[in-house]
Amino acid sequence: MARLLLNLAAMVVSALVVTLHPDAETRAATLAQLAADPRLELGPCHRDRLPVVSETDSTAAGAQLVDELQAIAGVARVDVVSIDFEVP
Amino acid sequence: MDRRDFLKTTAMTAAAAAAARLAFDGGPVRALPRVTDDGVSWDKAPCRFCGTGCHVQVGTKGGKVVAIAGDQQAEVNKGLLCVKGYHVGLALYGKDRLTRPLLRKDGKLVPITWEQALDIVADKILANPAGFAMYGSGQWTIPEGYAAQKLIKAGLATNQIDPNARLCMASAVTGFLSTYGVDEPAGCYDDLDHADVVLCWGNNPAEMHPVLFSRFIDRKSRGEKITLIDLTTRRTRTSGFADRTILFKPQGDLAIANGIAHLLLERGTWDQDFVAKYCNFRKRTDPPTLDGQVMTADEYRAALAEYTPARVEELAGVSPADLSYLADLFGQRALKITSLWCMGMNQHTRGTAINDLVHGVHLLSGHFGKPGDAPTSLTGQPSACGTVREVGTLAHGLPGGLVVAKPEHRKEAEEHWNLPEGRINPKPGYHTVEMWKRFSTPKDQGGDIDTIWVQVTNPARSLPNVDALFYPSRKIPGKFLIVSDVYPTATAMAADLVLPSAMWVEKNGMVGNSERRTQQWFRQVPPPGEARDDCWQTIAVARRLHDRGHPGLKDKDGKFLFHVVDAAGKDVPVWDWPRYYDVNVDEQLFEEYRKFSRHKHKDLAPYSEYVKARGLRWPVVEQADHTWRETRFRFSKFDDPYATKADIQFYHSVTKDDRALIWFHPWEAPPESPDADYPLWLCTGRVIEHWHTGTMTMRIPQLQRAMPQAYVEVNREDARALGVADGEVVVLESRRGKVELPVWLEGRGQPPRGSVFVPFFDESIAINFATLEAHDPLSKQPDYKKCAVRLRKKSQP
Repeated sequence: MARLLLNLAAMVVSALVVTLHPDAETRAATLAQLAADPRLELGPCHRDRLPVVSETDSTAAGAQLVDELQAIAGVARVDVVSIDFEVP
Repeated sequence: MDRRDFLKTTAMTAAAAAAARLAFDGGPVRALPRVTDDGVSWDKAPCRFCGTGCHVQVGTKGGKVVAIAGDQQAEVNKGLLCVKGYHVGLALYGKDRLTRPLLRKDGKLVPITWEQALDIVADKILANPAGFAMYGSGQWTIPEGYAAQKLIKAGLATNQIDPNARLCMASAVTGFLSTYGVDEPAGCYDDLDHADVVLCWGNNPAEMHPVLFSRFIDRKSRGEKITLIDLTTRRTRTSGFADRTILFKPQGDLAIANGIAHLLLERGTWDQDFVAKYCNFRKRTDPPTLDGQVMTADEYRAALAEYTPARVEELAGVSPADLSYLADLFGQRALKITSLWCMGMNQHTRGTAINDLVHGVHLLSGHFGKPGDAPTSLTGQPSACGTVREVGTLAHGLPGGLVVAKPEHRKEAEEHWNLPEGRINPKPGYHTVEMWKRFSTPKDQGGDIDTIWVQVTNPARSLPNVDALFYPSRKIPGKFLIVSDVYPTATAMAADLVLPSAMWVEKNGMVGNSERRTQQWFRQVPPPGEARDDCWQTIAVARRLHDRGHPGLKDKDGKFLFHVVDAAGKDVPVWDWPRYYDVNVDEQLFEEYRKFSRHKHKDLAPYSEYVKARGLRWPVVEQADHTWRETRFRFSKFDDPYATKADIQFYHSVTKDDRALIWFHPWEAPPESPDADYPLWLCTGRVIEHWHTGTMTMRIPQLQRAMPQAYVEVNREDARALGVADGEVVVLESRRGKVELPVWLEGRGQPPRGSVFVPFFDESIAINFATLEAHDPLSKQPDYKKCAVRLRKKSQP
């Protein structure tokens, strides 16, 4: 599943799974916040699991994004399914 | 569709599949095709790093690893990986890979040929076979460890071999042996899917075994009621997820376990039926043994009497309420409780004792043998179990759980190896600390080890008190250090001879993870330059010794010990590197090795079964229809084919009556405690970004940037008292050595007042100059978790 292409330096495409808190009100707000982020593309939710693809300029920015997502109210957890990284 | 869209679509497919799988605890498993549209070939391999045993899919193109994927078909990780796992492919591509043999001449390492290198190793061994030792690790693949084991035990008959796993899980081994009569956990990772309570004993799986930990988090996020309890000497990431964090004083775990047992007996909540059917009681002897001394239930109760909540609070700093809470959980038969531990209990001068006591709490309360009810130790290396514990690359061991000290075991090994009777030496070799102590001692003062060949480990950074155990050897004439490695580690740079090694998917391999799961992979890319497999190096040296007439390198029919044939039965000279991959040497060594596995019912399947699977948990037993069935829950009749007489049958029982042993061990003071001169406890350990001494992960830019150097976690109150600020470089010193490193306040871990924590991944900030080599009397495992240190500002004298 998680493909991690090592030789693409210019763009970093990562697959994430965001676990949402079950509370319905929080969830709507959280989804709206995520949908508004231009770096993210959201897939269809499976129960509380939201598939997300992110595109960032670097792996460091990708890691920063994961931290940011983790800090959003209503996000219980972020799993990284795949990330890109550069060959040094 | 352009490249960008293709990647995004692929990523979304992967994310959606993972989301479905996590949400529904299953979902479709999508196997990657062997070759994808972008020309990338895919094959399986277990991750190179820790003992969890996650499987990855390795994408290769043009002789390089170009992609890594979590393996959805792997039960262990269900497609997920941790940050190290996702970057494992880059571990091969550090800029300073060793690619040629190097010999120290006039103080400098200079290139030589492999022929010269092999001659030098053979010269050193033949000059004094008894003074030659091999030092390996739980990163040896099973065939590599088996080859080294056979060279030393069957060939040279000296038993001078030990692994770094002595430093990480030897106490778990002695705990299993003394309790059940056979090593390794009865349960498996499935327990985490069934437990109502997970109790971490000095263990931080959120950082050290994150993929396993995610099973717990997944269950919680699905709304399942599951309680996590963190018993710890400092707050960690695991504490952040815990329902209850109970801080205890270093060494206090012994008192806590005794206190729980005491309350179970006092309250009458112990499982009398389970104990009556399946257990005996034991106390230790002096000197201690794995068999101990018989004690009655009444004597056991009397011995525990002093471990009242008040006394436990005094010894461990745990409140009576917390102790009562733990005892109450164990007293509830309907709950399923899984205990997890790793280095916190093993790196302990009473490591065997605390392992015994935790097993004892589970046995006394009947929390054993049902899915979710299990005392389970975790390991830190990919094949600490498969190679060290099962192949038996310890100074006293033989493959399959046999030991050199028992005549019947030596006889069996000699039969498997077709050796003349009496070839195997009955005297165990030196354990790790003793081996290195003797290497760092002049010969005329008892230092009878004069050559050590190190493979797949970095003792110059991982040994305790390294300035006493390792570095003196570098100044003593006649002490010769050989190092096989992939990078110029601190050990390699101190060596006399360096041999460049292939790593991970640059070679065939097999490993065994923490849950008795044996895993296999094939070579997928060539190693760089002249780097070659460690297994080949061992066989090539063995052949040199054979050709020069060492009699031990022949079996009783005169054949070379590593005699390998092709499909037609024709000899293949695998010691000749260009011929090494003419046949599958791993397969031939494994098929020979697995004959040993029956003795202790650790049955292994044929190699071909592991090629098909994402690992199989032993005992793997052939069925009537000739399929091979793995075992998840050992000793339990519902799952273990060897447990036939009762619901629970400890069929390798120490007492030969199918019963496990519940031990009493008293609390004892640690060998060194803080005092006026050295007022702080030091605990060492790992971080999520790096693995062991960082020789691989510190060469992966993403991981190196994420955690670039070691630090000392200090309690804010202690920092204030010392007058040191966050980020300030301080001097940390013990009675053995010192390091300079920056302070981290309120960092990832938060030590309580009076203690500090330093990770050991950073070769440039080597904390093991400060640690203590005092070790457990049975397991010989040193204590890296507690010694006395002090901190001072760098400007202070």
